[in-house]
Amino acid sequence: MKKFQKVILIIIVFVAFILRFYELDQVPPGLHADGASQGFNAFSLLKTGKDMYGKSFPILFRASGSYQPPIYTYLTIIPTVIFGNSIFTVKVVSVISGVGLVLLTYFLISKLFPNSKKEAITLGLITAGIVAISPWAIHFSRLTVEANVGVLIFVAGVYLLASSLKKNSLFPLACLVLGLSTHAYYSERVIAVLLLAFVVISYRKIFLKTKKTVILGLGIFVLILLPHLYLLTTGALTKRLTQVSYLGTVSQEQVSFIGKILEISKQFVNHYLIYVSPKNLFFDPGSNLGRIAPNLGVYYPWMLIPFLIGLGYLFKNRQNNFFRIIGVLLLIGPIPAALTGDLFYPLRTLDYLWIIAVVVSLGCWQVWRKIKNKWVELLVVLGVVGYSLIVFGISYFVIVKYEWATGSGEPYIKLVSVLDKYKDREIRIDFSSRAWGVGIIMTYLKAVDPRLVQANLKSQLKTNYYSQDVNAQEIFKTDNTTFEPTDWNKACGPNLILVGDELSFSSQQIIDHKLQEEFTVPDYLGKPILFGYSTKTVCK
Amino acid sequence: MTPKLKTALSLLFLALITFFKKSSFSFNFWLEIFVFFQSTLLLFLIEEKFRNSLLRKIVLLAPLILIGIFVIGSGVYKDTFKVTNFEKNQLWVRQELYRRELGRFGRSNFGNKSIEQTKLVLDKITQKITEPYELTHYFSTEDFSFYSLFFLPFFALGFLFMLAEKIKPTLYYLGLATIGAILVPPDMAYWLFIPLVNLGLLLGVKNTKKLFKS
Repeated sequence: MKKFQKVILIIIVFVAFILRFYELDQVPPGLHADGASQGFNAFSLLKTGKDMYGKSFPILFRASGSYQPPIYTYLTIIPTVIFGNSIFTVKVVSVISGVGLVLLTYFLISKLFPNSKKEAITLGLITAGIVAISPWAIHFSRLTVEANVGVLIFVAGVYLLASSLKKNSLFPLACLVLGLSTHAYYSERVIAVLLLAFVVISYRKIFLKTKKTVILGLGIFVLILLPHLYLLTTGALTKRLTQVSYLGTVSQEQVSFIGKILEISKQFVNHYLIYVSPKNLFFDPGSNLGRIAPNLGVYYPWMLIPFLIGLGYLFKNRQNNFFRIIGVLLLIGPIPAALTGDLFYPLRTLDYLWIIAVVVSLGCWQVWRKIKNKWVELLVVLGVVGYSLIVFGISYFVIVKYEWATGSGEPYIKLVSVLDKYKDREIRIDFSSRAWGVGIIMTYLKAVDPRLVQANLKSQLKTNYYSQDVNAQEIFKTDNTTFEPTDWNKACGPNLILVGDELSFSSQQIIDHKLQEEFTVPDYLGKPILFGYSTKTVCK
Repeated sequence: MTPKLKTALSLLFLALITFFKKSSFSFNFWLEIFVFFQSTLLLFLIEEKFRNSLLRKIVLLAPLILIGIFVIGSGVYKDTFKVTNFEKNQLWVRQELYRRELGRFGRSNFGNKSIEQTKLVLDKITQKITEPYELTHYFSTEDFSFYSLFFLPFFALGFLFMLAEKIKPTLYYLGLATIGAILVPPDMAYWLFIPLVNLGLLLGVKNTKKLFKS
């Protein structure tokens, strides 16, 4: 690698770092309940060796009415030691994974691309650059999502697996890393198994030369997957799938076995097509669930052209091992997401989106080869990158705050500091679907003693820790604060403060219960969004 | 099989494939003619034997002319370039957001009315060119798609062959169809992309055997 190329790589990593760390605790606004659960479980493990339900070192974390893969939570213990409980802390693992993915992408492409060394390095730099500036890669790095760690571990597994075709001794390590990826996120449980099966069957002639290594690798893979088999018997492993999949609905609607198979196949194909549709990948997918920011999809529209060129190049060279693995990943990537009922949900397809980045880069590299003049090269790079970053910056760092702030739980984060002034009062926060997860979010940010939380949540456990039946409506309690739906019969006494949004209190209730405004919490536009009322009603 | 017979069979395929459209789409004679012409021109455009010939130049220009006729027939869809009162209101909200957020950087030009108005029109154009790129409009099990899902593997294969071997004419036509999509009413834009889909199907059927052999 030449000095000039090293400088380019450093610039790419630096840009990736800035795009992921700038205003990390503010954009996107708020904190999701899942992120807060991961943060609090890490905090709880650090202090007590148990999660918030009092379970010692779980292999799947029970939270928010479902289960979370464990790796993210265990890794979050490290930033919790360094930074304490904060929004920044719970995002650190994800954001470092995001920057790591850029670097790993460079190494993977530059080592495995079958052309000359010079061309491999050029393509490696282009691919790393594409991953660095892609909206999906930046956005999910800035969220507390296990999927971002999942994609990093999975790509490392792909790197080792592809390398093992030349150096068989790497196969056990590849199996180990791919196996680990299945504990990082849900999607990898499907695609890691499919990819490994494809590689072993397709390249059996290569692997048959070193049978012992292959058996060792597959043994390691099965061993790592054993906890999944145990969880499968409890129903905890498939809990999330039953929540988001259409499989259950189809089973209820269709009576005959053939009818069920046909309907499931139909649903699967239609959902699969949604994920390969250029509209959803390169333009605005049209729904907030699929968007990265207002008017912004997972990739920039200009990337469609290099994607098509790259796809053509990939197909042309499909006999080569490297391109064959990329092609297979492109085919199997959308499968996990296609099993779910949402129309376009990029979070479930990060591995697939990474592969798309590789194909886009192949196209960019093809165009790059055609340009002979260095100044034109520079102009094209600056133009494309500059345009992309301006489009992204305006949408992501300006508009998002205003459009997403209210629905993202941001006002409840402000509420934490407001309630510090009322430590001697009893606070009841109205828990509703509009304030989903507020209990765990505030419990985490206030760094409530994990032992108190464990005692409270343990008393509400109605089923085994690992179960298909998980309560999503648990009542959280801190020193002086309770998060539960308002019971107006108990809304009395001079010490009580009721907190909720404008739908929590009707004008008649304000009169009947003699409510007096104590404070309001505004949103980004300054409009009061949360209200705190004390009451003059005397308890009977 | 002689080359002439091969070409004739290809043209026959392109003419007949439109009859396999789902019954939910009404048969519009002029649109069918348009699609057949465009598909045929595209076929000639990607055929090696027509390269560097006068015919090729005609073929290169013809899609432009046909899109022109298509637009004249339906009229340029003026709403794309018109800002409604509702949109003006949205514009104001956006300007206000920029003013508040970027005012501190002294970047007031982000809230400039003409810039914002231009951006709004660009957003509308993007929206219009976005819709035809929805794959499920062409193949799915639902009634709103043009073709049955059965044809999808052939299209995928044919389109990959086009991208691998005839990338320039494919991108040329995609570019033209995209420009056309901006000018025609939204529900007409799909018809500009159907010739590409039909040609993908043709090449898919032609190359299926070749792929299995390899």
